[in-house]
Amino acid sequence: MSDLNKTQRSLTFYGEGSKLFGITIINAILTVVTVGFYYPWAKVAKLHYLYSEFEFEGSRFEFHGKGKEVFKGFLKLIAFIVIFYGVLIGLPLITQNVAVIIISVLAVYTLMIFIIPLALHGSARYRLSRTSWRGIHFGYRGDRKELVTLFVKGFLLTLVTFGIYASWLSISLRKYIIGNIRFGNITFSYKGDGGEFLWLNFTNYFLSIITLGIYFPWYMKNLTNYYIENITLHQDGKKIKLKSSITGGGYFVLFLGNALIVLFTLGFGTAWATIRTLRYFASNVTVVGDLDTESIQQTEEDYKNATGDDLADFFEIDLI
Amino acid sequence: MDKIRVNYYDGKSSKGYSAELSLLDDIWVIEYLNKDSISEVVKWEIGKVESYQSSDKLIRFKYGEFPQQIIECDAATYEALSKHYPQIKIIDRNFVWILKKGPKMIVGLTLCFIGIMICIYFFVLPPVAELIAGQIPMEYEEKLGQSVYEANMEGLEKNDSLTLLINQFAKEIHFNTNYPIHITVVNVDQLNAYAIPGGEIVVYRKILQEMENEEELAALLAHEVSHVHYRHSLKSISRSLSGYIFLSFLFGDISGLTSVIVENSHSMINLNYSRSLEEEADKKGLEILEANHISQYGFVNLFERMKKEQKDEEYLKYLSSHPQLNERIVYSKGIAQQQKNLIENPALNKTWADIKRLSHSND
Repeated sequence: MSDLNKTQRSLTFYGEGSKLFGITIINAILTVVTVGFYYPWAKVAKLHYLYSEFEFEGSRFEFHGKGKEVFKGFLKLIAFIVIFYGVLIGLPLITQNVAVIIISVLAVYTLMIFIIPLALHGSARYRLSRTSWRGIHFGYRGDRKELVTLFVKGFLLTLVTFGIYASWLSISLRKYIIGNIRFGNITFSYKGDGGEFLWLNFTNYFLSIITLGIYFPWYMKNLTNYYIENITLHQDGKKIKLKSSITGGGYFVLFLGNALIVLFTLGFGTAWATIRTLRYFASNVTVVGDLDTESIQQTEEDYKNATGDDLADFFEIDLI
Repeated sequence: MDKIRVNYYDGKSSKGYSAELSLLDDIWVIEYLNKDSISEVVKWEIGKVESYQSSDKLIRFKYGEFPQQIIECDAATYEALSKHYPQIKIIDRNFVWILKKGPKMIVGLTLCFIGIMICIYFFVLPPVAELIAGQIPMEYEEKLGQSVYEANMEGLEKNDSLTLLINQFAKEIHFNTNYPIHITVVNVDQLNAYAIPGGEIVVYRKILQEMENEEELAALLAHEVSHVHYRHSLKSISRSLSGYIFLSFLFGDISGLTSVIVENSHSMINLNYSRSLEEEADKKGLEILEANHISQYGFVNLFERMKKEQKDEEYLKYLSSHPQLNERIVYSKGIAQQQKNLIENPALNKTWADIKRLSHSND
């Protein structure tokens, strides 16, 4: 096939604002009417639509998640929140005991530290296992304990270094998670450096401030590109890179346009803003190298547990 | 037997095969050349075939356990297929059938959604918010009230002697509430009085200067105590807060606009009680006067004084939270006319005389 000769391939996103809007409105009505219990199905319907509009090499992606699966996770999440808040916030309010208050506050923070890596782990496992292309599933092979240890250690170091280590923590999390992603027999790796990342954030943040925010889209461009371009795909010993052609000007137009759309439609235009963003991403990310799209082998097993996916959504943690 | 050309994926690798699909009564036969160019035949039982619309132009059929095999075909091919097999229904997770009905349907649904939201905002949210406000423990309410009181007192000049007298005055009245009532008079040249959750009531001196008898003051205090007793400010705050939370949830937090509004809603002085809350406070206030054998004409006089001075802009400020003055005059008059058993309270009278005298001194 001619596939082998192609060295630059890009994603295409075919989503349309009006369709996403239709789905969103139906989701919103059903979610409200069911006092929120439809939410898992709403989320699945939206993801299902968005995934199916991404095309690579003539084939669409697919999201396999089911409302019922996410609903189970959703129930667990609700139970968790009720117990968490009930015990750790209700108890000190009722007893008014200083010792109980101190212990509860400490417990809240400690638990929060553990929730973040657990949510990252769970959502990566669920979301990736439910994503496929040409029937080949993605997967996440990370170990929960390892990720929690990595995160807790990093968090403590961040505290001790007054936040400076956050840069290294962010990069090492990315390395760990991306390093454990599988797409069939394709593996991934991330090559970033905490120091480099810190310098990038520091200089760009500074520039954003002295330009009164005008530089901000360029800051975001540098950040996104640092995330994307440091990812490498490994297929049968070959290295395949991701390239980004996102520009500061492009982001500027995207952000400004989205803000105006959302503002002037009182939020009803959010669907169009989402579509614009996804289209911009898809059209600016290219796979560079000898990727053989015909020989990716299925390697992942079936996986069912959606708690993490909802938790990530709840805390608004984004995974690239 | 029909044969259709389709794309086939075996679920083991990403290689797509151009396959020939033969449609038998209860099985599909898929024939293709594998990667070593050897002919392969796969059979699907019709009953286990899943199908769904993957995009506008693409239909996917899936078969078997994980990892599933896939057949892809275009919509036209699907039409032909579905004639053969009416039992195969497209799993439509995206409500495509609704979206296909066109823009009218979507506009209709949007209006329906807006309608539901408006109903919730006006009819469901307020009673729920009041219910929540009713659940807040009294001690917590008093603590909250204390901090609000302290914040509101900042920069205001407290009139200690009038404060002492007015609390003596209030002690003579049985308000029939569990809240510890404490009144503060401040030297402000404005017609104003307000209640803070937990039992603090602030009265501006000018309103005392304008009043002509003890019944009016008793009516004013009974009204404000009723706001405290029924937790009207907590209920109002809970209503406006829940309203803003609801709106910000609905529209997304547009540039922190909502948080600014939410913060401002904490300012309790400018709080507007809803008409029903004012009515409730009037009703309870009239009951308090009845139980204390104080003339309920205090209310009538108070309202009439407000009405007379309505032209005065200062008065309007206080009145803006007291709508439908005429209705309230008629209502309170109707009740006051039936009142019996008025008993003079010498202690009340004396304290009132002291208040009146003191309110005009240091002018």
